[in-house]
Amino acid sequence: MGVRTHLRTEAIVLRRTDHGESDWIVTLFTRDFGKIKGIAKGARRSRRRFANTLDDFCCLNLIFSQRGRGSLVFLESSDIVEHFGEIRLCVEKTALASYLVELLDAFTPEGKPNRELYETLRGFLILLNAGAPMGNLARFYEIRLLAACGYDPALDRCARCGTTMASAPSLVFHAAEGGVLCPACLPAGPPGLPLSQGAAKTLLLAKRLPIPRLVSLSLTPQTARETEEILGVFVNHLLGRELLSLQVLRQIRQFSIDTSRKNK
Amino acid sequence: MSRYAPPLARLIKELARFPGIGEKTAARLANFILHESAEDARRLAESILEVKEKIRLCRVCFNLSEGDVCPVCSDPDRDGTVICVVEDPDALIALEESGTYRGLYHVLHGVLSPLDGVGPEKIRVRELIERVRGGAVKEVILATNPSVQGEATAVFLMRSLAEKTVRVSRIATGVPVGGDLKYADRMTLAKALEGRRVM
Ligand SMILES: [Zn+2]
Ligand SMILES: [Zn+2]
Repeated sequence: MGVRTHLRTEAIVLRRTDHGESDWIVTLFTRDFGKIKGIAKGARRSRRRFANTLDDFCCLNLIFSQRGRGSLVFLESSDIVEHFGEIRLCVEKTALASYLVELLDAFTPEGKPNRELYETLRGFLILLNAGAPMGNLARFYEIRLLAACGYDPALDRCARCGTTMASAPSLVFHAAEGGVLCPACLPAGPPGLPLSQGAAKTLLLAKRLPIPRLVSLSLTPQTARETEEILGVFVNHLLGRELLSLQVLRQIRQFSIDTSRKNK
Repeated sequence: MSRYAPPLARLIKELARFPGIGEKTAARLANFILHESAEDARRLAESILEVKEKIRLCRVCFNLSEGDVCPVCSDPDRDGTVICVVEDPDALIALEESGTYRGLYHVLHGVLSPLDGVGPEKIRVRELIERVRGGAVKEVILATNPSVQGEATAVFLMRSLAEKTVRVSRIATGVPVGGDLKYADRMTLAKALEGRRVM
């Protein structure tokens, strides 16, 4: 069994950390093998084998091999598919791209292939790189990622009894129930979050459209607010925490407001 | 671990906490210390304590320093109108060793890193803006690494300094994209500083 089988796939870098003096540990989401974590030996000193591809959210062609029974794979070499150069030129876009990969990382176990999820991440990085509105992208990505990971929230039917809610005048979203509830199923406890039909229908549509066509789908200020609220609460409920990149994105915006105010 | 006598096991455990040091390497180092003279071992222990007691951050540039102000900042021959912004003290040392730079520094002690929760308040950005606001500075050179995080930090600093009356430039990527300044050779670093561009 001495021979190592080399595997090939396209992949996107989720996270990279230094390991010792010359190695990197890199977490990637691959098109064919799901999430993998690998060691890139000597990559910090000599870049030839990886040609500067092992950086946050780079899309690359990867060759790797399994070694032993551990979960850490051996990264052999890679070449670039897409650097997403426009994202790198903007600090907010970089933070949002970080959010896309952080969210995917949080919802996926290692070694479980999910082609749809891979295409979702790749498609949204392409849209972000092309300059699509950031707020919309974040919401559409959240709903599609949740669906692809099996956490699709109920938006057009009651999450408890399944009654259709498609023509209800207004909706109430309960994160702990996994969606909207009909009047009969509404619990006595804390009130849910209001959700307009417009917002629910936009999210349902965002889930169905081919990713490149999402640029033609827009959110009004009200539906943007509502969807940000319910998806944010839902994601935090599922994960039990708020993702770091979202907090940093807020801090960057706040800092910029503060400094430009001071200059006036 | 229990194979070792308790004091040796304790030393191995302490050494294994270091970045890049596994248990095997830690055991080798511990054995080396064990066979050293008592004098050598004492010097090592004292130098560890001394570093913790004596090293602090320069009041001006946040470089590691023994005094209140670091040797670079207190050198009258350095050009006080130029500030080179680096991620960490190691990058500063690398640039100093290239021998081509005569201005001052500003050490951020990190870069914006959304995935690690590092925002602008966790690195020395405000202090840089204050320094530039002071008025003596004419040029700021952004020398963060050309990685995604280093680039994002440079773009962010450029924007934060945009309304100030200083020239802001970015080192040229003679250093490879995705890289780490620490591992670049002298020539590459000299070229990188020479070929900096206005942002
Ligand atoms: Zn119901
Ligand atoms: Zn100093």
